Amino acid sequence: MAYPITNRDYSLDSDEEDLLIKQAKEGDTNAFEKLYRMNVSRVYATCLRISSDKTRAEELTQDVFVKVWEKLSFFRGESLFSTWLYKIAVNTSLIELRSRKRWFARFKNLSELLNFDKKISISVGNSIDLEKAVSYLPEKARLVFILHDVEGYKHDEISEMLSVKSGTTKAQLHRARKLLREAMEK
Amino acid sequence: MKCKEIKYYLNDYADGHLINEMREEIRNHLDVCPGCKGYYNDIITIISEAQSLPKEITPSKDLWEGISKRVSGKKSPAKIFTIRSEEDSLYVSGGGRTLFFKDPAKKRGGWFVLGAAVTSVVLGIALGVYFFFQSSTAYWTVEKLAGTPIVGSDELTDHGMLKVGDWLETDDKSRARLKVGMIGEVDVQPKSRLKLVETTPTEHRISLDHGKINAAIWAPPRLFFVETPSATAIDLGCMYTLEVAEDGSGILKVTSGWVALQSGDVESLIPSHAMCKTKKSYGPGTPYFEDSSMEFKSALDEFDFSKDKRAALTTVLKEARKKDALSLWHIISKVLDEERERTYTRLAELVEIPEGITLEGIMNGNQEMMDVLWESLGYGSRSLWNYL
Repeated sequence: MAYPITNRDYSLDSDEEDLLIKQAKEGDTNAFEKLYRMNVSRVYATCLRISSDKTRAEELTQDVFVKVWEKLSFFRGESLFSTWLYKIAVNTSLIELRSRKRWFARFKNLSELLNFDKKISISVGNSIDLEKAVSYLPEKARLVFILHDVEGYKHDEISEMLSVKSGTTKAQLHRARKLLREAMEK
Repeated sequence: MKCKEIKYYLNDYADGHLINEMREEIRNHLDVCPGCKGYYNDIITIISEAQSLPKEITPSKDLWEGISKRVSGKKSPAKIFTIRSEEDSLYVSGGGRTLFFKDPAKKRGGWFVLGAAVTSVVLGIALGVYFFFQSSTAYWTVEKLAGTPIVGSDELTDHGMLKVGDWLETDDKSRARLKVGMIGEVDVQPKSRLKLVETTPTEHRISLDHGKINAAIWAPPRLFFVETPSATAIDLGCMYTLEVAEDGSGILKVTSGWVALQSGDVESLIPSHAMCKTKKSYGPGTPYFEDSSMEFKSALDEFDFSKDKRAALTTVLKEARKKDALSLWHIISKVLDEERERTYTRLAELVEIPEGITLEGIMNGNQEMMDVLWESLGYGSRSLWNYL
């Protein structure tokens, strides 16, 4: 059977979702595919924002779902399945990013940000421009901004994800907003 | 507060992190200060715009096929291992050293398969029970293997509990075995000192101050961490031995599976039968295979932990075998310019370089090429190492 790339219009109630999770835990790949199609767009969006790379985001999305399949037996329903899944997506993307950065650091500094209006211009109210502007932020500030302001995680959660103190995440968030604000003024 | 101080707190104000009194003061200030009000409005606009970014983005192609291939026939990666403790120091060199664990690669007969299946069922039930009670257990059980280990300030008589924050100490005659929740076991060898830092369903972490442990972990990777004074060992599904000296330096040997040694942005990936040293202020060194030549190991040690890297690198490259491509791959990212070129050139002499990888790309730090190169060495995809 040919499925659409995503299946966002098909909504599940919690009992149906629980059943799919149970079936997937028992090895039913058809059930897992339904869970995949329900969530792939959200997972892909997260991977894309963190990786800033479409091809890599697609690979990461696949990795996330493979990882979820392998870890399903550890999902105990203490949180929503989607919450658990998205956290795996964030962690997987961060681990990959750290790995990439370790070897060949991505260098995006303040001057790049302040000069980026040569490439694009931010106009408030234009979400596409904000997305691009965020991608030009220094790495740590960019990640904290995405996790806090876009994804909605709290500072203590982000500090755990990034293995830094919560004071650091606050400072990086302020830095990100400051840089974005300065860019808006240019 | 003056405008400068007010602006300092405006982000926290916008996020609702301030106490009432300060909120009130800032609110009053914003009512009368157009400059700060404008600054605050900009922050609110940015937050609002960020929150309105699309939460869902459809990938350009259907990714299910790739996922389906990878998950079909693949179940929980839980593994059954048996610890056989060994007290010899990893710092003592010498050929033919006994492995610390049974080699899971050895062929086994039908009884083993049946036994493993039965054990799997038992383990599955145990895992269920474990997770049921997990929320109320912030400790590991500890069993005396020899002598009189000390837990906290008490002598361990037979079995006991190691709570989060507790230290476990063994003298030169005592040993102990820790049950890492239901995900594995750690044997603590004589003259060791470690602390249980954290135990949750998503993370088990100990701090090894000094001494030696043998770990066998059958949980999904990146659940078990051992902090040492110079690096953190991250389990990727494996059995390994880790020894930490009084000066904080350490040496890790993987018997089966994979381990990552990490410190800051430096991470060494260590496959089965490979080892890696780590030292304070240097972090993890370059992984190497135990059976590499003494000259190779000695030069690698100098390369990792001394200032005269250039001469050491020359010896490393000269002594490297095909198998030592593991080490050369790690070195590429540690050196620049002419040294990187030399290392890559030597690697290209030892192994077949996949199509598409160029010297220019490696010199420019092309990550995709490094990933492909890693795969070509036979250690699986880089994503396997990252997410397994």
